[in-house]
Amino acid sequence: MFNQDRAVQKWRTTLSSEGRLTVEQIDELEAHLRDIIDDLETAALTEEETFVVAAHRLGHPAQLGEEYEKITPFNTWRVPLFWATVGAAWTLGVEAILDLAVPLGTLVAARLHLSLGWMKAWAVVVSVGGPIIALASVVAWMRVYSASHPRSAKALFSTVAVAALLRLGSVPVIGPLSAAAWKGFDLRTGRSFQSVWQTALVAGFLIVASVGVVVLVRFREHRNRQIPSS
Amino acid sequence: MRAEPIDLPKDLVAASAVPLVLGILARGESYGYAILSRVRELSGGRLEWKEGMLYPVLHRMEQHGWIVASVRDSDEGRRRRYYRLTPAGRRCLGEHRQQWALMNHVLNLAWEG
Repeated sequence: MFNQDRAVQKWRTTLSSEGRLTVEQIDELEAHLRDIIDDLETAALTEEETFVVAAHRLGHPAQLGEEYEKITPFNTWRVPLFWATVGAAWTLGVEAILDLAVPLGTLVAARLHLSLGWMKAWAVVVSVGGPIIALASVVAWMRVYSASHPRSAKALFSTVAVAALLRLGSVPVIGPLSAAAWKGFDLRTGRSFQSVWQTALVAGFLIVASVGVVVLVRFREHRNRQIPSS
Repeated sequence: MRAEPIDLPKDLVAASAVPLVLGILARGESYGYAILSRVRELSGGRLEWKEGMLYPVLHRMEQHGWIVASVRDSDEGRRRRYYRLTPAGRRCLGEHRQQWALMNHVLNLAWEG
């Protein structure tokens, strides 16, 4: 059974996807949609047909979104930018926690009288595991969320992927540096500055990566707009 | 009896949208749906605007300060945004009228004179 109010609600959700249109703008369009529906009531149409015709006359949500984007471009970027930041913070968080596991693992290894080789192996597992966990969790979450939010999903995934790749690529750099840091490692206090500057390094990478992704995506959108549509 | 809508070039629709809306609002405040109905009526159904595309135009006109909006409930209890012309909008309409009159005059001379 067709429910017009539910259909209008769903139509509103499509329009508000990713914050392209503000609530006031959607309210205005809804009043218009209902005016068209009233107008069509004299025609011999079912309630569902009336809704479909009215929504079609008002314009496709994607097309409307594009038109509104021209007048309030920031609305389009607010939500994806937010998710890119979340992605950066998430990767940073996962890696910071795993970085703490390096000195802890070293402590355990020392207690068990394991060789330095074991400690190095553990450090590599942590360095590789961090990005993989961050990436895998984002992919799992995207399967649920991305269908209705393609731009946000793209922004989030790109940020995490770039951050993860940079982190993976930096393992050969961080490895020897970590080994140098471990030379002064104090087993009794368990204190190490390694995780602090490693985190700072990752944070630096992430900021550069996020800015890079945003600039790239914007450039592509700009270029796409230059191509005249037939 | 309503005539079939004419397919106008995009540029012409875009160029005429602002003076047309200004002209309609000069006769009193109105809202999106009513403005479109008026356009259809004035053109005898030959001018058919894409409905949702009117609002970005109104928004731009609002930003220029040619019109102001106020949100009120209509008699049917529907929340509507009513647009009204400002003094700047009235001046802008005057300029548009001069420009279109000139274009009209020149085109007529070129084609018929």
